[in-house]
Amino acid sequence: MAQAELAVPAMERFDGSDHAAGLHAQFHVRPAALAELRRLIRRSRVALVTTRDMYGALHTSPMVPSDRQFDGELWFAASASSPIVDHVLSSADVQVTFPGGRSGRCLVLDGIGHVCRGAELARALWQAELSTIFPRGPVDKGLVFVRVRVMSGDVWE
Amino acid sequence: MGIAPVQGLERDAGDEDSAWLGDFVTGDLLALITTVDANGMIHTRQVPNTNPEFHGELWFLSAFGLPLLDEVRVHPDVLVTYADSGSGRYVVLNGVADVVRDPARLQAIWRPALASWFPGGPDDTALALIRVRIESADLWE
Repeated sequence: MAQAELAVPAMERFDGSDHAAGLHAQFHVRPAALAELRRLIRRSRVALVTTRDMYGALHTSPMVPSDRQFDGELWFAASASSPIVDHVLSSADVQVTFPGGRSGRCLVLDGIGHVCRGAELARALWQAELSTIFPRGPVDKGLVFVRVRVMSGDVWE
Repeated sequence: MGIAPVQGLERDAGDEDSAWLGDFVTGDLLALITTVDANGMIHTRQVPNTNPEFHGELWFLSAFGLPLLDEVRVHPDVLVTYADSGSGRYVVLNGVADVVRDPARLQAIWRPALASWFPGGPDDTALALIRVRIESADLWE
């Protein structure tokens, strides 16, 4: 019933146990490479998330991923009515770039986006900074999470 | 800054106050070019910024034989992003790209630091220029 109140169709309902499984099957990476991926992700706090709208046009928005340690998935909080949610629902192909700035290494991750919601998930991923946008806290009906399951990646020097 | 979208505002690249955009794109930030290939896959690449000035077009160096040129030909609609993590400012430019052979311009924008990207130097006949005509811009801070 709560889901029907949102103007977002076909979202996956999660409970907290589902995403805690760790490194998912599709994403294989050597331990040393994983450590470097985590370093690059932590270094640039803001990620550039590129999606496509229903007409195929590209869109890039800066977003801050959840603090959760990277195990093959990135989580982004979003408003259920935001364009990025529509984009991911119509085209799941998502690219996440952690820019290198003036000289550093730039990490580009390709993944599959999925719009997720649910009380357990929201509690698990809740961070204090979110309260400026979602003042009702993790129970806010407008709060969803875009999960990007990383399939491959490139590092640009 | 929260973990949700950074505050953004859309500005027309042709606005009177587009000086802010010039300051951004003529600096020493690396540029990110986002393209779509013939299979519909999204690609983002970090490229050196070769824009000492800005008049509605951005120019980047590439080379014949690189996938970037094929993608631009198949899907000319591209995004160019500059990320200034230090100041927390990001600009995303929408534009239409084409591939241009222009040896005079190539010589004009060449600088020694580019040799680490293009070891053949400015006279390499494989070098090509990508011109991006900017249509709109988003600034996020």
